[in-house]
Parts: sequence; structure tokens; C-alpha cells
Amino acid sequence: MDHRTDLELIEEFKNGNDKAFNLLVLRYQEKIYWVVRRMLPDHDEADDVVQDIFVKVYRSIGSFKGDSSFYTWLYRIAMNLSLNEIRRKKTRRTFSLDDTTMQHEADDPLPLEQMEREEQTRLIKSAIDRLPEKQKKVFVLRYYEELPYEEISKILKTSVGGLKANYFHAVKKIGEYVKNGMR
Amino acid sequence: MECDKFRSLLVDRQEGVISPADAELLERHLATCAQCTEDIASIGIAFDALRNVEDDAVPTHYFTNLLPNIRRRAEERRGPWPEIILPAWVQKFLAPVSAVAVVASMVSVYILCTPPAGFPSLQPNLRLEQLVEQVPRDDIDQITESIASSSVLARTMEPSQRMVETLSNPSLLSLHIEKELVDDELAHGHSLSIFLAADNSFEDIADEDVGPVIEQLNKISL
Repeated sequence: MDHRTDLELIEEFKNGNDKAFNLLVLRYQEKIYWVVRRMLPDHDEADDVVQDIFVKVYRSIGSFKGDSSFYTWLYRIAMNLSLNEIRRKKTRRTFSLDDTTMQHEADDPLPLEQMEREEQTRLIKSAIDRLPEKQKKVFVLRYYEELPYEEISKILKTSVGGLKANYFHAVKKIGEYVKNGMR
Repeated sequence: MECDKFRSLLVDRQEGVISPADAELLERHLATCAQCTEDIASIGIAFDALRNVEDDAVPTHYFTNLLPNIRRRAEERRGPWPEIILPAWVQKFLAPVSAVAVVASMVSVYILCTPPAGFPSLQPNLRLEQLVEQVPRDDIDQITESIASSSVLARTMEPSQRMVETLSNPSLLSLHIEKELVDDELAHGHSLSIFLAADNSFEDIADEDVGPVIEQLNKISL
């Protein structure tokens, strides 16, 4: 476990110690992967974006002034590049029933409880995927990353009041979607 | 609307982080408000369902292989010459020289494209088009295609009609905006996020958020 702070590692990297960058990647790769993965529900796309994020960090870390924490800066890049990818694809992914049923056609029938759980997972993913992008990123940072609103406010540069409103709408929409989907 | 005040409390209550005083206030409101009662039921359903969702699987060894992949891509993007051929001190020297060269070429393009005094100017468009010419055709097609379906662009263009009128092809403005925004997430991340978020659901954008987008549009010198 390396006890150097992010800022110390960044300074070392700026001064030519390439390995300091590796440590920053290792420190944040899982967190960033999961943030992106929740924005883009496909591993391959998420992988591309995660790599883009760290390549961008590698290239632009010289311009990082330390006004915000590295973590905030990194999350901001992650959110922006994820949104770029969503927009580029311009596809509303739907987790169609076919995906689930086809996958199990050749297998043994699933126990009822497991089928229900999978159906609920499908519904939830679909609900999150359908959220407007602003609500989606607030939801991901708040629910999955469990970040305080003040931290999210720094990352997204949005007022805490606005974030709370977005989070309320996001959770409500997910609930309504699940409720209607289960009828 | 009174319900607005209680929205975040509805979520706080479901997350178990509401203060006793707020909880009491909320209970009193819920007793008289059908809408908030319905909302809190939806929020409860959401949290219950979310608790049962398992994370997707990550391919084995993904995190082990991620760093080498990132390093490889970062090195690829550095340029065609590997460090073995160009030692670090040479690269260090080349960096400011390249920067000066880039600035010099930009100034040259600007001078070449700036019309002589008194010349009635359609030149801003020309400069923009020349900028566009620097971008690979495929990229332009891809960007303009995605921009074409952007409702927010149409909306944000309304107050910027003067700029739009100077262009023979508004999609070039779109491209320019896109380039401005995408080029530097550090400077423009907020506007980009709003821009993108607004694209899919304009009704979710507060007035306070539209401001920076319009401000961004107005900053673009055409």
C-alpha cells in the first residue's frame, strides 16, 4: 500500500517519474470502471472509455492545477467521456426480454425465484438506462458511489439543490418504471 | 409549490438520513398530500428493487490487464517516434518548439483568412469552413449526424440567431461548438454535460443551467 497522496504522485509524475502514474491508475481503476460501467451498461464500451479517461489524464495531467482534488477532476473527466460515448452511440439500449430468454433456452429451466430476480435486474437496468443523462449521472454518483451531495456538486458543478431535485426525479422514475414493468 | 420543499426529504426518509424534525414535518405533509404519498411509494419500490440487483460480472483479469493497455495507448498517442530513438531530453526540447510551431501556423492561417479592411466579410464562415476542412470527413459526418437530431441545439440557437444567420450551414456552427466543448473537458465540462443532458430531455434543465450554454455559444467568435 502506497501512502503518498494523489498530489504527491502527480508531482512525481510531472517531474518525470512515470511509475507514479501507474500508482494513480491502480488506485482509481476500479472506482472509475464502475462509474463508467453504470453509465454504459456494456463492458466493452466501458473498457474503451476507462482507457480513454486514463490516457486523457496521462496527457493532460500537466494542466492539473490542484484547484480541485484529483478525485473530483478524474470523476469529471469520467462523466464527460461517458456522456460523449452515450451521445456518440445515440442508442437507447434496451435490455430486451429476448436477451434473457434466449440465454436460457438451452439451459435447464431456472428456479422461479432466480427468474424473478433476473427480471427485476433487467427492469432496473432498463430504468436507469432510460434516465435523462443529467439524472443518470447524479444517480450513479449518489446511489452507487455514495458520494455526498457537496462532492457531487464539485464534480458536476451543479448546485446541491439542483442535485437533490435530480436525484429525487431519478429515483422516482426508476420506481415508477419498475412498478409498471411488474404489472 | 409546497411539494417541492419535501422532495429531497422523501428521498432522505427512504435512505434513513432524515432528521427527526424533518421527519415530523414530512409526516404531516404526507397526511394531506396524495401526490407525495404516491411519490414516496415509487421511491420505496425503487430502493427495494435496487437492493436486489447484483453487479454485472467483470471479465477475469480485467483489472490486471487494464494498466498495460492504458500505458500502451498512452505511449501510442505520444507520437510515431519511440523514446529509444528520441531521448527524453530531446522530446522535452521538442515540446516547446512544437507548441511555437503550432501557434505560428495558427497565426498564419488567421492572417491568410482575415479579409482586408473594408472588405465585406463572409470570411468568418470561411474560417470556420477551413477549420472544418482540417477534420477528417468521417468525423464530420459522424458529428453532424448526431448534431442533426439535437433538440437542444435548436433551442439554444434561438437566442443566438444573429450568429446562426452568419452561417450558410448551421451544422458548421454545431461542429464548432462541439469542437469547443469536447476539446477540453476541464474548461467546458459543465457546459458539455448540460448540452448533452439537455439533448435528451430539455425539460429537465433548469434555467440556471441553460445560462452557461448560451454564454458558451456567445463566446464563440464567428
